[in-house]
Amino acid sequence: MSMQSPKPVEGQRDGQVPPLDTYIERDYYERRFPAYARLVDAERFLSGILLLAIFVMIIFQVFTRYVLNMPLSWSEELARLMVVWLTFLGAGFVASRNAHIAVDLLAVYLPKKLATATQILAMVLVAAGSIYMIFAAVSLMILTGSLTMTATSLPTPVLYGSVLVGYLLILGHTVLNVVMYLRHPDEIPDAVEKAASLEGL
Amino acid sequence: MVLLIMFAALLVLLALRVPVWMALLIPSIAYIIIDDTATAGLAAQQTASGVFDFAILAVPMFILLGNIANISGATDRLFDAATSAIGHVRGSLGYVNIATSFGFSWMSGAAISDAAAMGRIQVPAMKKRGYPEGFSLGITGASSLIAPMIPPSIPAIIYAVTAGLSVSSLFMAGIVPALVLVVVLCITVWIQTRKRDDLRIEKPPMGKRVRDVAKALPVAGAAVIILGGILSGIVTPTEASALGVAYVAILAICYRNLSFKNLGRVAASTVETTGSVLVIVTSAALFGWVLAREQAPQVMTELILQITDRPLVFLILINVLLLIVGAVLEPTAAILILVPVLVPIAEIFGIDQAHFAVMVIFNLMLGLLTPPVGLVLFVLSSVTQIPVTKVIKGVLPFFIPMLVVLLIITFVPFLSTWLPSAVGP
Repeated sequence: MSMQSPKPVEGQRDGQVPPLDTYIERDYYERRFPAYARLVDAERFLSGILLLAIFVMIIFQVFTRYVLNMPLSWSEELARLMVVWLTFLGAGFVASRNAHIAVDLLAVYLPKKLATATQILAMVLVAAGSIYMIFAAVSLMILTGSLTMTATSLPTPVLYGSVLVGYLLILGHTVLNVVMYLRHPDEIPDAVEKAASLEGL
Repeated sequence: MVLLIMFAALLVLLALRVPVWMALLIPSIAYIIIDDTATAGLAAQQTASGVFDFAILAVPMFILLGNIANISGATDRLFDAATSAIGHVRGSLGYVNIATSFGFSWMSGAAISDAAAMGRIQVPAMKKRGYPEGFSLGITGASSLIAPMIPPSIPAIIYAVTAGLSVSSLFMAGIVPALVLVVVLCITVWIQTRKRDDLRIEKPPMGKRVRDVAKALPVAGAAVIILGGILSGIVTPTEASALGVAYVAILAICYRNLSFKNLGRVAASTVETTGSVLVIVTSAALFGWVLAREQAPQVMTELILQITDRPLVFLILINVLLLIVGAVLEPTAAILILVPVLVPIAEIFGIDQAHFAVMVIFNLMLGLLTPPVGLVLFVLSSVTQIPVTKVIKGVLPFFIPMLVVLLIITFVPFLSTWLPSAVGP
């Protein structure tokens, strides 16, 4: 007799692919404003393209070094530049789901109203920090506007622009989330469900 | 004093459920605003440069590798092979569980993805064969910690980048301790199933056994590429990660499990995990800059030296501290916050860097199995649809063997240092 491992069914919660559906599921504002939904899609799509580009870039680097025997000077820097962008775009997308890694120690034991208030305070702090980072990124971009990167000769603001774009996205998503908590509390996704989906992979 | 305020602010913000990345950023921003010599641009520059690093590129690549491996059908093949090979042994599915995790760990660098993949297959299979539910959950949770110890390991990359060590040497350092973990888990399975003679499966015919094992062999190719590539010095760990992705993607296509739809979901999930992990790296870089400027390592060293000057006592103290931190903080975040402070102290005590790294990583991984923030517990609960309280009860007894492994890793540095020095440059 042989063991049959359970054959997963595509698309089901216990399917082979961990439950990403929670993420692909639209939140309240995305359902209401198609333009906003397209922005979130664009964030995810661009990040995915960057991921693919990084992969191709690294493979390309190995290829030029060993097969063509002519290592490129700029491939590594370009890949590093892309991972910075991937980080901040990805962070923006995660902020749209209010799903950044946090410590749930106290919040679990608080009464519901206090927990909501804490959550809103946390998001306001995130927004405040983001505003400072936007200011920081702009001032750095102005300061380094005439500089170029060593290997690729790209202007330095191309690198620091990632901080600006990332925190603009984080700020926007966070403000929307605050509004959702205040005005449409029923639309807030279940915290446990969200945690499970975040840690799914 | 400044340091005390920085850490106190961090703790308060974390308690308020401010995301870890922002909890690191806010005190650093406040420091920059108050300090006259520091400008705002510095905050942007430090955060961006935190991930502007070739070694960091391995993080998204290895997350992608684990995710593709997850859907590739490799886990099913590993499971079938292990079941065919050792199914007739008493308590076999316990060993199969460990073996499958071990096989999968060469493609996966995070305990979470291992627990997700294994929980889905192993727990129902074990339940069907009459294994107690708690035991099935416990061994699945415990064996998921093999993944972050065996290369590729996401925590090892983060640690290496934070401490300025070589990723390759940390990869090598984890292998022997991971084997110790495997052995200790096998002994645990033996003890727990020794009186259950019913827990075995009829031996399949030799032909089928050979076939099943042969079918799983291509999966080992990923390990050969990653380990072989790094060991031989042909490629860097980052390049090995991309080659590994290419290999497993081809494998998944051959197994007919990689469709465009799947690829999109895998990419989306990889991007999310990458974004949430690496953004912590960016703000930890700024936080670390402030700590270094305020001479945190020196201050902490003096403090610790007042308590003890014996390396063994120091190691015990650190382990206790890490167990507490690991219980509430996600391991990567804990590494980013603590490593810059702890590593210089460990150096003064003459502790080998690789040994200390393996100890810190394994210790923090134990936190994945402990409430209140044990992510592996939540993942197991979510993929098996078993309430998290039951999962906790099942995993709890496995804490004893895990602590034994931690003690072995802590007090036998040879295990961690031997392989990197034997093969290292």
